[in-house]
Amino acid sequence: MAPRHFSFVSPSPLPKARSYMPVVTPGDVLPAEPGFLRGHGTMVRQDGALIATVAGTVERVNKLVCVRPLRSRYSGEVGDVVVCRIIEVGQKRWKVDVNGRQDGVVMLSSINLPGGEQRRRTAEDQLNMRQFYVEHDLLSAEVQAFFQDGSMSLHTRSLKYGKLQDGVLVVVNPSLVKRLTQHFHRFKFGVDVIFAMNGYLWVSAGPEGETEQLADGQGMLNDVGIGDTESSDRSAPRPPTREQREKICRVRNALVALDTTALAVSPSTVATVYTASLQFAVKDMLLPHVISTIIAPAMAPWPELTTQAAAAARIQHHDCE
Amino acid sequence: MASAAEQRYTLHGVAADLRDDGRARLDFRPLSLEVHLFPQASGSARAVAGAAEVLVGVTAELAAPPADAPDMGQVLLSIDCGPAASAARLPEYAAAADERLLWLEEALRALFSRESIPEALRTLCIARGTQCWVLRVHAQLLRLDGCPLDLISLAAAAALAATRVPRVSGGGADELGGGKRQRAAGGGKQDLDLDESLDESVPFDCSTLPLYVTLANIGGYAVADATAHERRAAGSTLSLALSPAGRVCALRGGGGFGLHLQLAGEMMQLASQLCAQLHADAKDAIAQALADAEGRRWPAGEGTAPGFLA
Repeated sequence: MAPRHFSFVSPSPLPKARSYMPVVTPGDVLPAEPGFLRGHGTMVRQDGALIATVAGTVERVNKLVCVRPLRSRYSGEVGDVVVCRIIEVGQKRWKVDVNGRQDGVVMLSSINLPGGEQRRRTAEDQLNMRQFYVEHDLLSAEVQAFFQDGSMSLHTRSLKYGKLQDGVLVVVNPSLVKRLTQHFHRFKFGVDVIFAMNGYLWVSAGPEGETEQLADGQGMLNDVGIGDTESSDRSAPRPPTREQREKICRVRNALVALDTTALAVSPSTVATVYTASLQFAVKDMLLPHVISTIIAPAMAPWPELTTQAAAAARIQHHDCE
Repeated sequence: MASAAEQRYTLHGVAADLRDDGRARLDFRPLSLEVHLFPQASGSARAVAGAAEVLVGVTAELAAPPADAPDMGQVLLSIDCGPAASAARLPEYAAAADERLLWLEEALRALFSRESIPEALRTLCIARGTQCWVLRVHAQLLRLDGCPLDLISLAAAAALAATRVPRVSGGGADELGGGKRQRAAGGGKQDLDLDESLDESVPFDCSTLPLYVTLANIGGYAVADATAHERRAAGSTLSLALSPAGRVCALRGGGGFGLHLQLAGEMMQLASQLCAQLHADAKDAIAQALADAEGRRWPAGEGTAPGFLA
């Protein structure tokens, strides 16, 4: 019998995660004490009431009231790990797509030269910029600073940052990625994931059975921003084996499942969904009924939220009423 | 946009018969169909495959049949894409971005031509040479990812299967119970009576509609339902439209590269096998979608949004 290549599924809606934090929608009146300060995502109505202008969670710092949007482009902070794509090679700088409101910039002076050489960048370096990164290349980088206009400057001045290869990019909603102590995560089952804050997650193969966390991300990149000709001496890029590739597929589908159901994307949720998915074939993971099965364990209340944060959320909700 | 490293990864994956999302080379993404979404349209359908989504509406109107085919109605097709799926993001069938929609329309028009579906078009004829139904099929591309031809042809087939045209009786004065009657002032000599109660209506015969299957040449392998990401690593594509009876209705190339003759032959062979399978599965899926719509008691009552609009 010939293998089946088609699977028709019923267009049933997927389960959506419940928010533990109260969510406001545009136009909702935000309770505020007299003398409040109007923050991002809010405006004052003609009758003096403070209303939300975006859908999101209310954040209060003393008298300042803001609404942090649920869906937005990435607005970074200094020190964030991001994955970005080169879209233009300019003079002394690369323009990169960081999933933000504006394109980011990687300065020629903020990359590591081959061999870790420390010197001023010369005019010759400017002419050879395509030997480092060309258009469409994917890099991992860190947010270094912000320019006056709000666009971000990135740097790759560490061995853990640089050009990415032998893996897949998964784009998720950036608000689902939370700050972690370590954004370069090595899973026990032999897959490395860069949980980039801008929602561009990079999934690649890693050695199996090693420690859960990488001390400094070393060994994760075959190529540390060195030109193609010179990269071979470190560790020749080896294409992943079929088993590794299948694991990468599984993690990739787990990330897509988490994103479509609006669940937080973190090492723990990914590992949970991955484990729950092992009873299914990789290609079946994105069938609607399979998605609802595999994300079910990840939807259980998170321990850190059930205690302190949930109590805080309750108090805040109480304040709102 | 894809870096050389990503393209290499895609090529290796296709060679290993394990693509980025775990599919084998000839697997399609999960497809879903929904029909009867808009009470205003004579027929409507929505098809989703992964991140790609198409909405199709059909409206019926009366007109005179074309002079060279007096016993046939017409199916006219138009395609539009919204801002989220701009024409510039369509796969490169034609050189210029603004010609890609025209290219798609032209390719799909071949499916509804007189040569492709003569029997179905004959059922649209009311009075030879004077009156026939013209079905205007409009496809709106909501999201693009990969092979729009396949998805549009599937959605159009589902929408046409769901299409109800009012029963027309030729010019008598007798009255049938129930339905409101109306005089259709066509250009012809005889007056026609429309029975507007849609319960009585005859569905358009769609059992002979062809479907497209697109195969992409990725590293010398034929790959079905390539995503936009995979198409960046792909060479040429080949789209074959087959009727359920196995007759070739259209063949289109795309991608802007050449194709080795031997590979082209293999791809056509594979595409025709896939297409036969798709026809069998799509028939069941459309029947299921129609049954689901009955279950929702289509047309929806006041205040209830149908289907995915709910």
